[in-house]
Amino acid sequence: MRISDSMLSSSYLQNINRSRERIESLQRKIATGNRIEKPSDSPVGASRIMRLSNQISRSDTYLNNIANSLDFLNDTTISLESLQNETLGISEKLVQVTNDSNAGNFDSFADQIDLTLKNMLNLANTESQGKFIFGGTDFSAQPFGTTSDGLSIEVKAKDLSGENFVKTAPNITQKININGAEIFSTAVKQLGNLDVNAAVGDVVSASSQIYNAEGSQFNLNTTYTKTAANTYSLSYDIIDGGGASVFAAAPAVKTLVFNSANGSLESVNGQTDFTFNIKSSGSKIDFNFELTSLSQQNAVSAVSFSANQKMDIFNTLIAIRDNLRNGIKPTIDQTDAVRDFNSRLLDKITEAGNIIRQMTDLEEMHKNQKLYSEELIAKEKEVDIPQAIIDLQNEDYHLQMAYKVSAMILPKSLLNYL
Amino acid sequence: MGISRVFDLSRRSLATYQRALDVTSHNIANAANPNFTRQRINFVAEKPELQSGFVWGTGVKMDQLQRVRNTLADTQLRSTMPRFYDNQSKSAMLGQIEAVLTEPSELGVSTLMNSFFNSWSELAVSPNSAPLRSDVIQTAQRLATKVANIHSELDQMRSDILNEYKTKVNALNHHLKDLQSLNSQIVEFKAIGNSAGDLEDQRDAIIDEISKLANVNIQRDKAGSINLSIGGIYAADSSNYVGFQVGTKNGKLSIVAPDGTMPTSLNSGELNALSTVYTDKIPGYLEKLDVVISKMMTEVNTLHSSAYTLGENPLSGINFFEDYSGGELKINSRIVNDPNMIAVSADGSAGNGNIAVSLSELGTKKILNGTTLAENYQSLISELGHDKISADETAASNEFVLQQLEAQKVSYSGVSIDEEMTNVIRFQRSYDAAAKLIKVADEMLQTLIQMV
Repeated sequence: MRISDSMLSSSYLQNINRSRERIESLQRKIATGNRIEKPSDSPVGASRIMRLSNQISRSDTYLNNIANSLDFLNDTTISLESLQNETLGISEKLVQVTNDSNAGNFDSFADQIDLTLKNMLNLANTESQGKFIFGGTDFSAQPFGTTSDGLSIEVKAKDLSGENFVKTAPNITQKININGAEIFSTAVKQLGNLDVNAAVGDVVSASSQIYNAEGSQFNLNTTYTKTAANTYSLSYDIIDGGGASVFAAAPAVKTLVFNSANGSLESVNGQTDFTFNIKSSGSKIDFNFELTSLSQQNAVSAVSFSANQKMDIFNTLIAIRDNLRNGIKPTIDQTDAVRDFNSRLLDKITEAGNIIRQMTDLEEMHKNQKLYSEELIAKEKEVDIPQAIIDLQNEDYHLQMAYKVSAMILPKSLLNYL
Repeated sequence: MGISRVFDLSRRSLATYQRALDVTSHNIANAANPNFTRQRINFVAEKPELQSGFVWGTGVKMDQLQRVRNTLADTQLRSTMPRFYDNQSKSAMLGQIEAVLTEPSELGVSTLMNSFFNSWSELAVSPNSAPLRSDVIQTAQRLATKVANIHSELDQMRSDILNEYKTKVNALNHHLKDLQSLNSQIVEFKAIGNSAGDLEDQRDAIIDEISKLANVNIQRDKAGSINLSIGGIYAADSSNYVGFQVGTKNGKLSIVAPDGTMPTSLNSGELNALSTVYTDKIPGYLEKLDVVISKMMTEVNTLHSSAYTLGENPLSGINFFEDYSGGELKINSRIVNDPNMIAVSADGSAGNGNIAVSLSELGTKKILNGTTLAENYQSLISELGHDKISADETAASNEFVLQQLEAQKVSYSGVSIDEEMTNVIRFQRSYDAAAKLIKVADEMLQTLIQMV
C-alpha cells in the first residue's frame, strides 16, 4: 500500500484522539466516582438506579412515618399505663372501703377517688404531637369535659372513634391510635339476624335497657322494616321512664343493605361504616350503636342487644364518689365496671405493644432494605477505582508510546538524507 | 542522422523534464493541503521518424497531466459521510437533552415525583401538621418547576435547532452556487484542452461539504461537469443551481426548492439529524413526559377533591392542581396561599389522613397503561439513553468506515514527500543528461567546424 505523508499524520492523530478520549472518560469516572452519569452510559442501569433511589427514598419515608408513629404510640402506652395505675389504685380503695373498719373514712375515700378521677380525666385529654391521644381524629375540642351543670362528664369532641392510618410499608397501612371510643365509650351492639325470606313490609322490633351518664335507665327501641330484597330500613328511639322520647324529633331512618350471597351487612346509608353515635345531650345519653354483628339469614328473625358497659368509667367514679359522700358503699356493678375498665386498658396496652413491636420489626426491615438498595446502587453506579486507575495508567503508557513513535517517524523523509 | 537532431531531441527532453519538475514542485507545495490530489505526468516516447530506411527515435514528450484519484473510494466516502454526520449530530443533540433531564440524579423528575408522593405519606401521620402540609406544597412546586424547566429548555433547544437548520440551508445554497461556478470553469478549461485538476479539487471539497449536510447523488457528464441532486431532486450543474428554503413536509423540517419541490429521500446528513430531533425526538419525549404528569394530576385531583380540607368548616371538591398545559403544572393558588386547603380527611375531621395515604399510594400503583408513573417515566429515560447509544454506536461505526475510506483515498491521492523527492532527483538527472547531450553535440559541431 502506498503511504502518503498525510496518511501518517491523520493515522497518528486518530490514534492519539482515541487514546485521549479513553483517558478523558476514565479521568471523569475517577473524579466523580460514578460509572453512570447519564442515561446513555447505561439505559438499563440508569432505570435501575432511579428505581432503587425511589425505593430508598420510600424507605426513608416509611422510617420517618414509623419513627413519628412510635413516638405517638409510646406516649399512648404511657398514658394507658398511667390510666391503669390509677384504675388499680381505685380497685384497691374499693376493696378497702368495703372493710367495716373504714366505715368512718368514706369522705376521705371519696376525696381520693375524686383526685383519681381528675387525674384520669387529665390523662384522657393528653396531647402528643399536637393531637389528643384519645381524641380519635377530631382535634376540635378536648375529648372529655364536665357537663354544664358540673355533675357529670361528657364527650366534648364530635367523635372519638376516628382512626389514624399511616403507611408503613408498600402494602401495609397501620392504624396507630387507640381512640377514645375504644376505651371510654359505651358501645351497644345489635346482635342476631333478619329473615331473608321475610316479605317486603315485614317488621322486626327489639328493645333494650340503656343508661345515661347519671345511671338513669332508658329504653332503646329498634325497628327493622323490610323495604326490598336484602334491604331494610332501621328506625330507633330512646324512651325515658315516663314513656316519652328523649329526642325532640325522630332520628333519621337508616337504610341497611345485606349481601344476597352470604347475608352479611354490606352498607348503612351507602357507607361501609356500620357504627354510629347516638347522643342526647339533654338526657346525658351518649353511646355508639354497632351493627357489625347483624346479618340476614335463612332463619326466623331474632335480634338482641349487648353492651360493653352501662356507664363510662368517669361517670361510674362520680357515682361511687357521690355514694361515698352519702355513706353508701360502692355496689358490685360499680366494682365490676372498674374491673372491666381495667381489663379493657390491659387489652389496649397489649394492642399498642403489638403495634409497636410490628413497627419496630418494620423499621428493622426498612433499614436492611435501604442498606441492600444502597449496596445495589453502589454496585450499579460506582466505579471500580483501582481498576480504573490501572486502566488509566495503561492508557497513559499507550499515549506516551504513540507520542514517542510519532516523534521518531513523522519528521523523517528523504529530505533528511539528501 | 544530423547533429542538429541531437539538439532537437535534447531540447525536447529539457522542456519535458522541466515541466515534470514543475508538477513535482506543485505536488510538494501542496503536500499539507488536505483537499489536494497529487498530479502525475505520463511520459511517452515522441513519434519516431523513418529516414534512409531506418526508424529514428525522436526523444520524450509529456502525454498527459493526470490527477491521481480513486473514484470508487470517493463514491463510498460520499455515501458514508452523510450517515456519519447524521448520527454524530444526533448524538450531540441527544446528549444535550440528557443534560436537561438530569437523570439519574436527585434533581430529576423521578426523584422529585417520588418525593411528592412521599410527602403525602408523611402528612398522613399528622394530617393537621402545618410543616408537613407546607412540605407537600414545596415538593409539588419543586416538581412543577423541574417539569416547566424541561419544557422551556427543550423548547429553546427546538428554536436553536430551527435557527441552525436555516443557517445550514444557507451554507448549502452557497456551496451549490460555488459548485455551479466551478463546474462552469472546469467545462471551459476542458473544452480548450487544459487540465482543470486544481479546480476539480476545489469542487470535490465542496461536494464533501454538501455530503456532510445531506445525502447526495452525483452524475458526471462528458464535458466534465458534475450534476448534483439532493435527496432525489436536482440541485446544481454547470449552468444552474437551486436556492433552497426551509419548509415542512408531513410536519417534518425539510428543504424546499423555489418551485415547491421537496426531497423525497432526504434521509441522512446534518440536516436530517436536525430535522429528526426537531420534529420527532423532542416532541416525542415531551409528549411522554406530559402523559405521565397529566395522569398524575388527574389522579391526585380525583382523590384530593373527594377529601375535606382542614378547618372549622371543612370543604371538599377542591383540586390540588389547577391545570397542566404547555409544561406548566399549576398548583391550586388557594392551596399555595393557605396550606389548610390541602384536603386529606375522609370524614372532615382534622386528624383523618386516609386520603393522604391513598394519595401516597399513587406513587406505586399501576395507573398508567398497567405500569406505575415512575416506570413510565423510566421508560422515557431508557428510550432516550438507547437513542443516544444507537446514534453513538452508528456514528462510531460510520467513523471507522470513513477513516478506512479516507485512508484509501489519501493512499491514492495524497502526496508522498519521499516519492516526490525521488522524482525530483530522477527528473533532475534526466535534465542534466539532456543538457550534457547538448554539450556533446556542441563539441561535435565545434570539431567539424575546426576541420574546415
